[in-house]
Amino acid sequence: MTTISGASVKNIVVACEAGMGSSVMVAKQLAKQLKAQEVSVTHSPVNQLTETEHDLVLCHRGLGSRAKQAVPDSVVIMFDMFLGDLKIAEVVSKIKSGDDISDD
Amino acid sequence: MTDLVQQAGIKLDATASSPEEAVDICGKLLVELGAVTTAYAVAMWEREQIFPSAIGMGFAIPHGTDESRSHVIFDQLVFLRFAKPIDWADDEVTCVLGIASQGDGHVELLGNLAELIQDQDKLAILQQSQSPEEIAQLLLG
Repeated sequence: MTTISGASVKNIVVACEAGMGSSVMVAKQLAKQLKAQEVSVTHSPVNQLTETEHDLVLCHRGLGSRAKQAVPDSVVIMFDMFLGDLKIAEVVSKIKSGDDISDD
Repeated sequence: MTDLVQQAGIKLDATASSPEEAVDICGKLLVELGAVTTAYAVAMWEREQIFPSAIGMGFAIPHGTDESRSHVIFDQLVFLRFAKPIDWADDEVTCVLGIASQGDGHVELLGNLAELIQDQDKLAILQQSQSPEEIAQLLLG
């Protein structure tokens, strides 16, 4: 398990297979929700995660093990739905409140 | 510069019985519009098999692999609506947005789509409108 304080999250990368579809969609929604916190949200193919600067990685559960393998020291939060996922909502609220965020 | 979505790239009466067929129609339409080469269309199905592109609310967003971006001639999205829902991994899909993008030209539109399909009135237009013009305008935001 890896943990980071929500207050120190300034860069989030959303990873997916090609970095073209679903990660773009999630990143865009997240950026909007975290605008006031000045958090940068970008997207990346999972196999290029090591090249990204991030405090936190989000990806679909189906890609979770590949993402964690690529960046084992990073907090990798997995979600199940591309729209309205509760896990993503929880991350947003912890960044706003400054609470700790841990992966599984 | 060509619009990201053209009326010629919107088909409201498509028929497919599987994701493979639906992705194939998207690929062929993108080739027909001159936006991609056939190699990209092939990559769309390859990527779909690695990870299904269904995003919920009856939508799927198939696209190529990161490596296949070199086969994109210009950024373009196509919108297909199917009369009968298609079994798509664990989802049922009726609307398919096929994506061809060299870079991040489509990012705003995808963000916009996420908002559209979580808005009941706008979702209803995407699901029911018979006007390609109306759908193109909505997608382009």
